Amino acid sequence: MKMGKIACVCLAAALTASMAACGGSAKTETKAQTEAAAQTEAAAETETAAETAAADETAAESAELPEEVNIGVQTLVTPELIARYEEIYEEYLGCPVNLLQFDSGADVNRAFASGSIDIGAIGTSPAAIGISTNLGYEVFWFEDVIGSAESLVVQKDSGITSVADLKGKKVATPFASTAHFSLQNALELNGVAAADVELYDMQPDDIYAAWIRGDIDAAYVWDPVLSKLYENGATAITDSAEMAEQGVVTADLAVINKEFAEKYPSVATGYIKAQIYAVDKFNADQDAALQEIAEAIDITKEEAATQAAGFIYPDGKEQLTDAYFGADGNSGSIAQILKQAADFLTEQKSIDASPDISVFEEYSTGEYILRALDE
Amino acid sequence: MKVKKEGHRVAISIITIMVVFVVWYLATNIGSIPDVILPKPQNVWKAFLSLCSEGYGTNKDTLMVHMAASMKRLLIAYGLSVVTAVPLGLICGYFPHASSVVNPFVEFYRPIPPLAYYTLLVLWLGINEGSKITLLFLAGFAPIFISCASGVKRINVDYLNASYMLGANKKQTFMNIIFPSALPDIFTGLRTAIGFEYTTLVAAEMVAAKQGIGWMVLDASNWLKSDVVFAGVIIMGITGILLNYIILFLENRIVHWSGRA
Repeated sequence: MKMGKIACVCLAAALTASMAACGGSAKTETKAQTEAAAQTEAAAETETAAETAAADETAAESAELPEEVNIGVQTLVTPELIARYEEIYEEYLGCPVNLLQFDSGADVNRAFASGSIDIGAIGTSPAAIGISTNLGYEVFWFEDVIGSAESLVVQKDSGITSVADLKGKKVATPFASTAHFSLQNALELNGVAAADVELYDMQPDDIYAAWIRGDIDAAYVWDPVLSKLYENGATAITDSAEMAEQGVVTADLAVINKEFAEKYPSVATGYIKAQIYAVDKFNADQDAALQEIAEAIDITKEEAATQAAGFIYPDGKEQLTDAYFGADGNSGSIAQILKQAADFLTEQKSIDASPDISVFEEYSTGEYILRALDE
Repeated sequence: MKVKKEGHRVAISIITIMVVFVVWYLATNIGSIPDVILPKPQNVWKAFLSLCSEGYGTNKDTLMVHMAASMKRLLIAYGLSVVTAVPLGLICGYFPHASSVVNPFVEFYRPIPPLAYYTLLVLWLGINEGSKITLLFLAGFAPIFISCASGVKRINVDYLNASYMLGANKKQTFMNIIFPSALPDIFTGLRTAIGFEYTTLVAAEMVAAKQGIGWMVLDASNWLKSDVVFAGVIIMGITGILLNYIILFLENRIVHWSGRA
């Protein structure tokens, strides 16, 4: 009997210990790191006569390289798809790359919380949530700025012609997304109380189904579902480009685990270089770029063109202006955009507290863009 | 003696729970586990209090409103599955031909994860309560149906023969022999069904819900409010245990002879 009691207590202790252990993710990279370091060292030896810049680079790289990099991606029509299509990540990052597909920024946040990914693509409002909750990632690149790619559309015969008409109507959007954020702002700017609107939390695919059945009157959503809604009689009454004109900027960002970036700066810089390559390619030859984007996610080139028209893709140099990260990489409006989002979400009681602006300044940086453009 | 042993086992369970709780408290208050991954017990308690007083969601519904919305769905669906699956299961157990008609369909959909066909239900029935209740109904139907059918089939043929020999007609045999002897199996099915439906509840509230304990947990997870997630999960666990005990209580009352032959 006594033995049994002891066994039970041990069991319980083991259970909780294993639960606690789940918190810390695996940190058994040392062996691979030393191997990788040895390899790059050997490589450096053979190229001793190389010019100083390159030597500096290998020195930085030989410092450390991760065993592999896990990147969380979403299906957004951005130049990032070119990098994915041409499979240039491993070459630019210098190590094996795992691409993981996510459907929403909320999922990307959960993956960061569990330490499953190192780099991820995420909208401004989930990013503001993540930084407010101390997920430990920093914003280091703009994938795109959202324009008409996210729009508030209404059913053809609904009689709704403006945001103010939404009172008492059924409106669907994926909660905690940039679209949800824009919708809430649109309602507030037009003097409609959130309680006066029937808001439904739905994923884009479900919005499409509900739209076809006529279950909802309006939706704030993005592509590819947005295009499908247009095919089924949707008319836009406002979009994120108009919202941006009114000061509500939404964007899709690339974020990276801050500790990871500080430990492996060459990987962070490599990711940016791949993005800069992709944007430059997009700007140089849009036709070829759209073809690659279309093939990457299996849509037609025309669809890719329509969707791309709803975004702005700032290139590396533009991202070092005040609208983004600022000339020194740390004085741009990105921190303000995130702070504004966090403030609004706190006001809506969606998150508990909005941190000080300095936190957002700390967790956003153009440093790796500066490095990428320098090298 | 028996009572004493029972008391022992309860004590062990309570001690285990307390140990887990203390380790949880110490690990989160002294250790450096981020709040998102494992919130502090006191924060979960605070979240619980705020759910009760301030509410949660777009309309700031209190915990009771969320709970009521979920329970309403659950009980309507459960009621529907009981009143359909019990008679149908008994009939199919009694008449093999009826079983041949219904069984293929039950056997087909039973192993499919509810989420797989939920999108279809949403397309057919819309985003409102219809699709949610149907999903729960389907989750509960199969276990009740199967246990009722097998309960009838397992009856000792000697009982039936004796009943007929003593002059009972089919109806009397069914009411006095078959139904009572299938009751323990029926209750097993009823208990399995409430468990199935309860586990499907979160899935059912994934699409277009505005209220409900399952939706609350999902939404809180989107906002990374782990304290609310924990509070919700603990409430769901306790409610699940309670539901199980309610059925168990009824079972002990109604089929008190079962297992003591």
